[in-house]
Amino acid sequence: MNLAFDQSTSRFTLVRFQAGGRAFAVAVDQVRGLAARTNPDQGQAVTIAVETILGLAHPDTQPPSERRTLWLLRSGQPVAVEVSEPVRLIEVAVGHLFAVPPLIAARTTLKGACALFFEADSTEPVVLVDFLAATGLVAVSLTHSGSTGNGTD
Amino acid sequence: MNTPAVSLEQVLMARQSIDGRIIDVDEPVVKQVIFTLGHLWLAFPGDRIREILTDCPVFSLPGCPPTLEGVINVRGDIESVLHLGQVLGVETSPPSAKSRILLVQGHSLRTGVRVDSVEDVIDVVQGSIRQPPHTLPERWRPVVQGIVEFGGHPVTILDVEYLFEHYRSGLL
Repeated sequence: MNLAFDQSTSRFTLVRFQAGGRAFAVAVDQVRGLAARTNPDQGQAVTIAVETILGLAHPDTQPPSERRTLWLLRSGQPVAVEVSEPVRLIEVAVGHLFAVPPLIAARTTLKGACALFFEADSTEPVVLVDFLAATGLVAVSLTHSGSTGNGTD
Repeated sequence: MNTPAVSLEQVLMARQSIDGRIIDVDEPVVKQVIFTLGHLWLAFPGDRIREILTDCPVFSLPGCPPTLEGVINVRGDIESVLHLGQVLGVETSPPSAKSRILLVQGHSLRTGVRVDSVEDVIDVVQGSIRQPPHTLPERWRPVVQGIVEFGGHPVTILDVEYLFEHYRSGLL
């Protein structure tokens, strides 16, 4: 996974979001854009719930108005991934990122988890995920490789 | 003063024969960290215990099975916390002031291990460690290194490597 890495300040730029009531983040390099929630009835593109990609057991219960669409690029194809608010850009110092402990990496059902960090205002760890490594996204994007969609940068 | 009827050497020899057993002070000893889990008395070899943590907040993570409580922050290092009771299928006590997290170092990984209480850290003469009894349940046999006595309790010494590697592989 490539992370937007500012060597002068030693900080990574990430997109933080909620999924299944928990905090996650993804490297800004993997995100092509952010848009209001895609309406599935409009047939614009296939939208995948982020909980499905990450293998979370329970879907998010947030109302549609609290959901946003992250546009990702997978094998040249745009993929719309629905996440929950709040969605925001954050910067995390290199020294504040921790590898996922080996037992958790081996036994978690969470897909694509690659690091953890703590935010200053919260005790809940934020899980940094690699969407490209999340098998759920690979499978779904291959299934819907003929779908179209436009990212909103 | 009257001359004693027996010499000092004779007294000491007689004492030794009464005690029966001669303790070889050169026999190697191994440190054991003794802890409880529900009704069980268990131990980890002391050289595998990096730290005994008290009052350490555990942060749950999504996607973890019940056997993994979450993570702890140990002075800037993030470690997992294994719920040993869940792994071994032992009913444990609810968390209390006596609960501890042992920071256990295996060959290839380190993790916190939740236990009900830590009772003592003792030196055990290697020769006094008994083989696990044949009556031990099948599931337990590979994970048990041996049995020692402590305070009238049989204490089961657990094999850290077996525990960690088999847990990591999903076999426990």
